[in-house]
Amino acid sequence: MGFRKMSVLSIGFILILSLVLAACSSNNKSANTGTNSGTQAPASSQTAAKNDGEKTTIRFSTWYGPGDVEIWKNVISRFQAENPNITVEFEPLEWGAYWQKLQTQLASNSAADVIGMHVGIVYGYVEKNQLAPLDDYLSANDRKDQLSESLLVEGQWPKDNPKQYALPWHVTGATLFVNMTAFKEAGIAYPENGWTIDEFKAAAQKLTTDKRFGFSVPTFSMAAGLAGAFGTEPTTADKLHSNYNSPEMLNFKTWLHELIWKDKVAPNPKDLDKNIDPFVAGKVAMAINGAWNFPVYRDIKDFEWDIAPMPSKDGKTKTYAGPDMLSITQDSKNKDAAWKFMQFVIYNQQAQELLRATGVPMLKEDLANDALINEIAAQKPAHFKVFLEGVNNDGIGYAFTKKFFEISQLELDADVKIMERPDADIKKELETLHDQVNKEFEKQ
Amino acid sequence: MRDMHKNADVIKSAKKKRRMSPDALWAFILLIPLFVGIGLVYYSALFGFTMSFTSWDIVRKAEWIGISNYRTLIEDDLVWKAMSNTLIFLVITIPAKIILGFLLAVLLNQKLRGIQFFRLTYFFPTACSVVAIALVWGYMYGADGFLNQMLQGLGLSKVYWMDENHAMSSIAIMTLWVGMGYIALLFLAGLQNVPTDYYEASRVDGASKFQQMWKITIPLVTPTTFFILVTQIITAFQMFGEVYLLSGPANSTLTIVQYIFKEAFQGFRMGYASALSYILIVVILIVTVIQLKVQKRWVHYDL
Repeated sequence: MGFRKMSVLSIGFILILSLVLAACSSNNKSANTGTNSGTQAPASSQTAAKNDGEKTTIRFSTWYGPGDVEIWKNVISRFQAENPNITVEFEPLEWGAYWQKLQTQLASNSAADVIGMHVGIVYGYVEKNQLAPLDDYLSANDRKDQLSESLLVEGQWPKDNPKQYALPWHVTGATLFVNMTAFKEAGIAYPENGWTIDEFKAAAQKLTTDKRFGFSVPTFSMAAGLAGAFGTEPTTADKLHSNYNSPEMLNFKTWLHELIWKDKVAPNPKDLDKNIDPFVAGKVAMAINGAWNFPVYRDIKDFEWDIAPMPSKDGKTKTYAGPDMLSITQDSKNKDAAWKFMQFVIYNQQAQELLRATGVPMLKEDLANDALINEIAAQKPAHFKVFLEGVNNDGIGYAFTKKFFEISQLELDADVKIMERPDADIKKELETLHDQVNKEFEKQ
Repeated sequence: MRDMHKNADVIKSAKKKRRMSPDALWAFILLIPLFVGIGLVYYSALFGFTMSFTSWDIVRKAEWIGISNYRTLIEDDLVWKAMSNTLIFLVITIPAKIILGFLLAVLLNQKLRGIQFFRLTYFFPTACSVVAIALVWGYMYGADGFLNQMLQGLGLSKVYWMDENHAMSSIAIMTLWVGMGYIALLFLAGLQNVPTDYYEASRVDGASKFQQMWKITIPLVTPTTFFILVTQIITAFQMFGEVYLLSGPANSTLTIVQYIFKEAFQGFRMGYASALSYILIVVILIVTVIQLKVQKRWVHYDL
């Protein structure tokens, strides 16, 4: 064989061998695709941090809302400044992608050391032995009393012999955003003492013009507060069965439907561009959105805005709220370093002063600090205390079960059939939804 | 002495015949990765088939449940919905792709200055990322998106492109736009393989352009048409990226592969997803075998 032919074949063989070896390389190295707010440390997991100053890298993954990524990067920078031996690799993901990737990573033992965890679904992960208990770390923490029992309980399982598997990093929820410029134009006074759903609907009618609707009908967990005022929730109290066929749920969905098709104060959801926030665009004067939008909404220049109390029905008012949590994965090789990071995020003011921007203060010392509350209110929304009181006094969750994602998708699908059709058979659609949700609960 | 040399030559020649030639050896070595790959594919297929008889959430141990997954999928309304969406998509897009791709190829087959630019332009969407394409079309299809703004500018009412009733056709239009260039390229290759003698002879006999197209061009590109039909049907059955990124509401664009993905990676019901995958394989196999049997009636390899 000629020398040239031999060389070509040798090079070709080496290339193919390299490709095969690269494709077969360890999953541990390929798991990290995140950003690092500090140094460019490698992604592979290393040995646990020790007090002798050994450098460690931990991975932190969570979902993000508008503005969250920058906030987290700043938190991580502050943590790393205080803990120069620990590097945090940040792996933010969009909500839907996060939960999909998390499950797969946990199954393949390639999840981050610290992971975002949602309230109410902690137990699903605990049952599969995927989360590390935090009790030993907590008992050594001298600031553990800063979190209220109601927040701690959300991260505990089982209920009869609880261990702590998740801790809150902020408390947030949904609030009613109102366009104050539109309020002034329509001559509507701000509801300082609260308002009923009839007063709310009357205001929506005054706010509706040929260029703008008074309100946009909420979906998914954004509707939980209003649903609570109607005395209903997606699941039964034991969180194991559907509640969609209840008379209260029918009343609630009918009321929302009438806002669109009878009262004409809310747009047909089909008319709203999914790529544009209708409240920010000025297409609706009132909308229920997540408090995590506060940092982004502060950039609105076209009109003045604030938040208003959730409307009440028969004296009942509810605010959708709850903690977002963090956990350490059972397979983490860096639990000590991971706990140091979690401890900083949850209990250290350097982190909390950044993180509470997307919700409400959660540490007892902050809740008792009137000056702090006033300082937050001065940044907008002006009636921040309304949301704070709603969260603390009338908080309500959503369908926080193992089937949270499935239930929310089924409800979204049902809402399309209910809200987008003027002649929807709401009762029939809710019965169908009820059966679908119960079937989902029966699946593994 | 001559006999000794002759014997030595015979022995050398015999030894050469027993040893593998260097070329054959290299061929064998370079084929090893391919065999490994094929082995992995068949192993995965067998593993998936076994998984279809289990209940497995990829975390806990798989539990043998026999044909329970197959019984469940027969009663699962979403399976029928997904399959019917897939078939609707197939019926809308494949004839359109073939007809429009062929016509485009005929236009691109002209000997005009700058024709390469147009060939590149029409092929360009095929080379683009499906994510980028879906994002752009998502904005175009928005309630206040480019298309509706154009319609309203012309005094027409807006279209709910991505509502329950229109979402599937909207995705079909997008897929057509993406795939037409590729189909045209395949037809272009087919057209350029048609011997010009047939056209010259038909011109002498007084055939019109239409007659040439109908009697010569179309029959002689049937092998290309057949290839496109088989591959595009398989691709249509496997459609996922476009519908995942540009989903219509209330399962209006749910395809069978998307449903398999949901069951496997959102519901973590691996066994059920495997059973669905095997049903899909069987359906594709049946359709492909039918096409192979029927092709003898309409595919012409010469006139």
